[in-house]
Amino acid sequence: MTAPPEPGWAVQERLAELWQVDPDPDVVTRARTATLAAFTGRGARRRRLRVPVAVAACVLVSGATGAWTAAAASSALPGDTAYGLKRAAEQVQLAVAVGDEAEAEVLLRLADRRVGEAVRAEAVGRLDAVEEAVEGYGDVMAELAPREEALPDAALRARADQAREVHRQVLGALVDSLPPPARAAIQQRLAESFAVEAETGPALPEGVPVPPGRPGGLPFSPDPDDLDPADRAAVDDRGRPGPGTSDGAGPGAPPGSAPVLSTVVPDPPAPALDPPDPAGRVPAPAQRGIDGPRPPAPSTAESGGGPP
Amino acid sequence: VDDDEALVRRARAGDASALAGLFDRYHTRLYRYALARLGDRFLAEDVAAEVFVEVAQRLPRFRGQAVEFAAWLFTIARHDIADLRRSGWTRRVQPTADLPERPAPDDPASAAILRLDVARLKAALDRLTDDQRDVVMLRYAAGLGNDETARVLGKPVSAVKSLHHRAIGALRRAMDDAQLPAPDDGGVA
Repeated sequence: MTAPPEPGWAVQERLAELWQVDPDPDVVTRARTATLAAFTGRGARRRRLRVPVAVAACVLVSGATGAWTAAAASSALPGDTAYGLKRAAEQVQLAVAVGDEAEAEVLLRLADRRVGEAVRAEAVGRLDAVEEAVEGYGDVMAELAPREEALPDAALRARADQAREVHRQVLGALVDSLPPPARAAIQQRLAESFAVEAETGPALPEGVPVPPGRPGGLPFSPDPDDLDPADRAAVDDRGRPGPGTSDGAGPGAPPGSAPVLSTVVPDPPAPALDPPDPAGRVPAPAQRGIDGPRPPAPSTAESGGGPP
Repeated sequence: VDDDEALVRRARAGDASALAGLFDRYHTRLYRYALARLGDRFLAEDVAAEVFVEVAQRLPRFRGQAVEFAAWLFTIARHDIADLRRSGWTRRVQPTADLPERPAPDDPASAAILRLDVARLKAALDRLTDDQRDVVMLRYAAGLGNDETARVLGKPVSAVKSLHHRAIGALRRAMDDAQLPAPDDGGVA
């Protein structure tokens, strides 16, 4: 190799390599679809034409108020200004999903987001947001129930089964950790949510009244990769119990805290994305309690455009 | 293959395939820039996706020259990322936390050296001024040239060149100093 042409050459070469990391192909596909749907203003189905319009309205309003960001919306909790945009963007994802399986996949992710929002809202003491997140959870369930019955994919149903148990534990502990005045309202919301599920669903979380005529349960399958980043942050804040943790509460969580979404936490980054962490956070070991059937974390490609 | 100008022109006329072409051309670069700024690949994925949804909605009203599309795109991303950081969700994230690494070599010694180099580079990047770090990330993560970087930052090209030169110099000195036994301040201004 020849000598560097200038003193900073080696640094520039290192910088050129530093960020050559590609996003998850599945994420790219979803982003591309959402982009085109937003552009064309057409959903997959006529009944959802209102959705891109809603997104457009949000963007217009936000643009007028000073470059409001969709990025901020992604971390919004119920009651936040940006939450409407977040929900509208989700509806775009749902609008472009075609077929029961695709729609079920989206709904499963959205259900997981709602659970994450509920956990995060509880962690910051926003009980009104907890209630709204749980209500949103029920709305997703209501949309998912008829599609789940028609799912031909056994693997997807198996994931849903595994997810039920996780969400049952998370929401059950969440209810237990709430102060009594709020607990009753949340319990009622959960009961309403579970009431829309098929009659053969799994057991309700402890403390949740069983609706008449059914055992209750959570027909959802989480997709860790789609967990709201802010919810992941909340999960990180509360620790990550291992699969064998008895109560599911994070190492730093106070007694009685809701269990963190340990099994909903995304995989630790692939080796190429697993950097030294000065903040002291140690990437969690594989915790695949609910999503064993999921494929391994995508590897990161090394190719890509070089630096200027 | 259409260039940016042709794709932007067609997209502004309502051609979705042209927007798809722009997405394919820029999404990964946008993701890398967001990753560099946020240090979290999940946040970066969200930002990249949501910025493009925003672009899709605003493109018909984009009044800039077609050649300015890249600068416009990264300006939106830069503002969105700034808002996201202000929102508090990234308050625990340092400017260049969680830098991605290249795949580690098989040789343990080489892997250790690589890891150390990345750590040193991260520390050095953290000590740049905000403007210098902006330039570095737009140049090397987003892959923008001096002209485009200048448009994104709203600075003259000469200022961007100067910031780039100083940033590289500071990084080089910091990397060199980091190899000393006690690199307390690395000598970086």
